[in-house]
Amino acid sequence: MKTAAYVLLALLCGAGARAQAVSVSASLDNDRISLGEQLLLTVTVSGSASATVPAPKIDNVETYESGRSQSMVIQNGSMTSSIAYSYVLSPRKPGKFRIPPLSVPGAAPTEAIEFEVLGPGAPAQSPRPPAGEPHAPAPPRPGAQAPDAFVTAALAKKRAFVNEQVTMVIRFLTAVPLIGQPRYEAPKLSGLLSEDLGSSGQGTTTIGGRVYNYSEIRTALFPVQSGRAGVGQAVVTVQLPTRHMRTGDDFFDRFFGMSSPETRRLISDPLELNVEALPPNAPDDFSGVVGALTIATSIDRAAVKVGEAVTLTVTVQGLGNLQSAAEPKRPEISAARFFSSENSFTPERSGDKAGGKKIFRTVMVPRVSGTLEIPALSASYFDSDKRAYVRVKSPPLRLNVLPGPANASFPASGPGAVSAPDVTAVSEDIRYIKIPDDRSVVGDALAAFGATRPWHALPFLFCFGSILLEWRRRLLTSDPRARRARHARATAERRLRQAAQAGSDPSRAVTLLAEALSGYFADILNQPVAGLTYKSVAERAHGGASLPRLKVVWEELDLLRFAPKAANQAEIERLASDIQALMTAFDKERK
Amino acid sequence: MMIAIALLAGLSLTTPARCAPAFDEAKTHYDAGRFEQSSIAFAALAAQNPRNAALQYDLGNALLKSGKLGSAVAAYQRAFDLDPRDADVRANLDFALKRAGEELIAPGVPPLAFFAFTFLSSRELAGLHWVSAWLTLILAGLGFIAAKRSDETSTSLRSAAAFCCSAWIVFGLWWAGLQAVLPVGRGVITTTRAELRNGPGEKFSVGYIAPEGRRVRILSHNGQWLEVGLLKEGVKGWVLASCVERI
Repeated sequence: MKTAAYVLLALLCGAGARAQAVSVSASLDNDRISLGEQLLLTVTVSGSASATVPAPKIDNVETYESGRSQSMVIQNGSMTSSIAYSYVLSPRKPGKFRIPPLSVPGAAPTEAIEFEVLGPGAPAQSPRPPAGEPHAPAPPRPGAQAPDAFVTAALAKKRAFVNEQVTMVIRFLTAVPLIGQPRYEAPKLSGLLSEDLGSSGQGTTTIGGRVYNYSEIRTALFPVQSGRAGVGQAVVTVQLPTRHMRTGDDFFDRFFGMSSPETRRLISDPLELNVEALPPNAPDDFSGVVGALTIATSIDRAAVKVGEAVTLTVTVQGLGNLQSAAEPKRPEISAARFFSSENSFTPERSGDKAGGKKIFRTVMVPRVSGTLEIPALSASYFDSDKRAYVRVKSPPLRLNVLPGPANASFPASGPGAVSAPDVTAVSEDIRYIKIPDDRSVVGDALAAFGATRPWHALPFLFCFGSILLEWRRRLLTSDPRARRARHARATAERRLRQAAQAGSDPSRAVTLLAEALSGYFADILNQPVAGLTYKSVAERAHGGASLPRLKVVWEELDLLRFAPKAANQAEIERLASDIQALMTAFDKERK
Repeated sequence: MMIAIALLAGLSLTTPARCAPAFDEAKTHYDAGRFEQSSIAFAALAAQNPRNAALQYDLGNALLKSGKLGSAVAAYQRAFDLDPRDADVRANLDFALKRAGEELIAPGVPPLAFFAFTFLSSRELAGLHWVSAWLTLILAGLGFIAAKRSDETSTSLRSAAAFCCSAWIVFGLWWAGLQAVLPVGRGVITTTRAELRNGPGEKFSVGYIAPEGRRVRILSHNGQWLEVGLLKEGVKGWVLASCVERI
């Protein structure tokens, strides 16, 4: 747009640019934006008209060209030419990013540039204001005398969303015939991308009683980030005839026409645009288009064989800044191999609405036979009238894939083929159902046994009982005297019962009575039974009160041992009773 | 002992042949792509045989195919709890969990370590724990009793008891560890977007939104609301009980 005025200068001064050193510089219009906004990267190459700068590749940032402009400056007799490449950067996620150094042959690379992307809706810095120019009055003010010529600039709206189109109209009006061709300098833009709408118009209008001819240029502007965007001053340099020339008062002027025309710089007022951030909760498939979209998919063949290539074409068409539209995300289709996409953009106009058609072409090669379904692809755009995101989808496609040659999937055999072909994963899905008969009996038995049940107390009881028994046994074996004393009474009573039962055999009954008595005292005194006498018992026993009675019983038993036939049943029972009473008495005294 | 255990197990088992016709019907629906009907039939079978891992697995397949990711994860998780060594169960559970933004093996955990840790089910570990406990206590008791008669026998019995006791401790700790990782109070989100609120009621603000199929730990309940913790993210909130299927 603005380069037209420089063409002549370029032709005039082209020879002077040859010996100039090559340099490259890069600048970013902002270093902090919110997600959903865009950045404008300008890479300027000076001293070479042929050098090209490849688009920077940054992970998770969509980059696309926004155009280029060429300029030449003559200063002190030397000329400087430069080409400015513009790239729009559209980050996909928040974070810090780094633009790598950019280089062209013969020039030192630029320095890396870092920028930060905040979360959606976060406040970002406003774009830098446009470089100011001396203010000059432009359109006629109310009540002022209408000028011969002036320039106006106007925006279709004062407030817009990021990436929403705003039409700018620059109108040059003149009420007098011009001398020579006017030179137009487009306004500098800040935080805005421009796209020429190519609908320049001309006409006639009346302002303040004067009839003006006008020419206008319409440009689509797209804000790249929220905040304030600015449009600088549009300048039109014209040569106007002087009043003398127009009225013909001066004879010489009229006769020779020698009066110089007046050169005037007509300047429009700068404009401001309030840019509103897009709402958060943007869909995943939203790539920044504000306007309207349609999406369509097609394949160039309805049926192919395994291993043959098919071109999948995805067309995204509509109104808005379509250049920023990203390729719709394709779901994983493991039944086919996809190669990298190529895209092309064709601008289209609908009145003052900019738009276009972006076509993505991908070559795909089916891996397996059968019906290959390419699911619906989707893209979202922001409808600024409804203030909402809208999703559009393409219908799914079906491709009939026929079996390929038998060796299509295998490497060629021959001396070089030394490895077996790999297994290719085609699709991921769940495994088939199982028939419930392959059960682990041991596992189920363990699981059943592991349930909490009262019978799990049994081993604890068993072990506890065993411990008690063992403890008692140890206790007894560790003190034989106490053990003998503890059993003394029981042993003696057993013998007394046996004596009572042996009543028909007085000899045995008396012997058992004697053993019961002597055995009892031998046990409680821990003495051998053999040779135990009343005297030895009386010396050791602590039953002072019962000793006389013991002496009587002992002596009676001694007598009966020598004459057992003299003992009748009644006497044996009496003696047994006496012995029982004696043991009770001695037990009491012993305790 | 093993005979007794086998008999015990036999009592608790349901013979698969008893449900063969119903299984065939469910499988026929599944093979024909009628996954809704198949899931209903498998659900009935699984309700009759709640300890059959294969039926829970089949139910998970039918639910997943019919688009019920949350319920499918719950069924797969039950199958995994019952039979963690089954490779098919592991594969399908992992597949379903990945759709819910989770993985069977948490990032950073070596797969071999996870496989070893989950080689035995919680119920099997409980069984081994009790078997080793029984053996330990009986052998120890016999060792005490035999000490009266033969020192050699007693020593042998006590050595065997010590070995069983080691197994008892190992299985007990393993079981406790598995109980900590796979506690009883677990559930799965079964709605597309479950809102986790900061309290048990609509008046509390929504703190998190959990996707369908995400496993949660049920911490407490209050009326119709459950307090759940997301296992992966380590956050908690209150969700309507109807949004969670208990495992």
